[in-house]
Amino acid sequence: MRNKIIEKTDIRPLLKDGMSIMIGGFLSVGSAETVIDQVVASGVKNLTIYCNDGGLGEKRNKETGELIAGPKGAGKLIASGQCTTLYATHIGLNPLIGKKMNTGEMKVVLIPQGSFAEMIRAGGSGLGGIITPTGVGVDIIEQAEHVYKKIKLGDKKKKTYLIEKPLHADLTIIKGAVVDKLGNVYFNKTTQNFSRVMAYASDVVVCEAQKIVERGEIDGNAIHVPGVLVDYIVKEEK
Amino acid sequence: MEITKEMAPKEIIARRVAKFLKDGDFVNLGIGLPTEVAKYIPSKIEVLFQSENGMVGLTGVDPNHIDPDLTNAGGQPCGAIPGASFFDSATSFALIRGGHVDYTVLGALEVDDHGNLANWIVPGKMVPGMGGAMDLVVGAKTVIVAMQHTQKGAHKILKECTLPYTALHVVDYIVTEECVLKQTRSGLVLMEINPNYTVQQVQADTGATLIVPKNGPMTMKL
Repeated sequence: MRNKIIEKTDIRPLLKDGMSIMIGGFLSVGSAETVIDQVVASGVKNLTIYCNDGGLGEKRNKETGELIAGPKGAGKLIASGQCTTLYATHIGLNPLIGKKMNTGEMKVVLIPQGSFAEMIRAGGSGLGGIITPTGVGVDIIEQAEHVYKKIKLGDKKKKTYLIEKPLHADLTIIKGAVVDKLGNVYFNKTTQNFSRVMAYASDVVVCEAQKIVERGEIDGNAIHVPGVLVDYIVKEEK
Repeated sequence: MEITKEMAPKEIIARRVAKFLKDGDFVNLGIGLPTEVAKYIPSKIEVLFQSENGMVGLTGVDPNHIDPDLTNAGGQPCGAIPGASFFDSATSFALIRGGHVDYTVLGALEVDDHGNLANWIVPGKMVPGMGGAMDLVVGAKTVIVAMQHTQKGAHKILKECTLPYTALHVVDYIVTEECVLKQTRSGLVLMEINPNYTVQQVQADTGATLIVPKNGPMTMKL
């Protein structure tokens, strides 16, 4: 088996202008900061990002304006201007996104969180879409480009659903707490969030590892993402 | 517990919502006022809280043991009870949309007497996004709107919502500092009233016509 462990800079050849990237993490909890930093450093442009929330914006002292913390997770690609289209469920904790929407620098598509998770799951599972009651009667959702149609289904009592598109990307960037050399991933606590479904839904998967272990060191029953899905492993840098 | 005149509206609301919950219930609390409900669960019962970012068994954070890998749906550090479980977002929303959550408690900008809810967008203002709210109200067995009765005197409980909907026909109960309303096919029934208000006062603060039971509403207790 080829060695999946690469240096962080080795991800550069995977990056291209205009590509789509899924980024795991929930308000940057569980996001692969070391790999995302490399995407920033590469300078690739016009990225379409799929992420629950667009990460966190920079934090500044309200009085002095002094920088307390830089942006986190997908927020780094918002701040750098590399992300021009964002699919997310919530952007309230990164005010820069709202500003960039207003100036037309960014296009943002808001999708209900459960639908978003399921559309990604469908995209990674070979399904043609999802059928969900969420968003029925909500004009903004019903008219969205990710909705195919509204349909009534049911054997006896018919119920209204939306048929929505599966989501798939060129690249997925996730982070695991423990990753073995075969690429098997174990997540810790609430860092699992979108990373698990995103690992299925793109052509190439890069997994940042807090810890890399030998094969067999993670109990096979505790593996969240089977290693066959992971193409490259990058060691997290603190 | 009787309601006192000094009690803050938010405390009245949170305490009354807590009374809905029974031992073993599986509950999702929204951010803000709904989160306060957890404070008032009687110690003799155990309620399991979900955090939609991927856990069952959410509890308050121990400031001496902050774990960056353990956060709530607002991205803030939280705690996990012994026996808590963790899962991915698709599983989390299978729990939600699949009807496995007994109660979801959330705030609202507007509700109407058809059970319609508007709580995610004010056109022309900053759009934070719906997060998990649309799935929660569609999927949970019982939807409780916990909010102050009016917005500084302006009606929030209306005949028809004016803001874009979060979902249609989903609200089961509205709990405010003035009363408890139950959504029925005929409209909103005034189930309980805070004894410091009259039916006329509550009606005046409400944009929809309330259905008052024959024997009058019950006295709201906490």
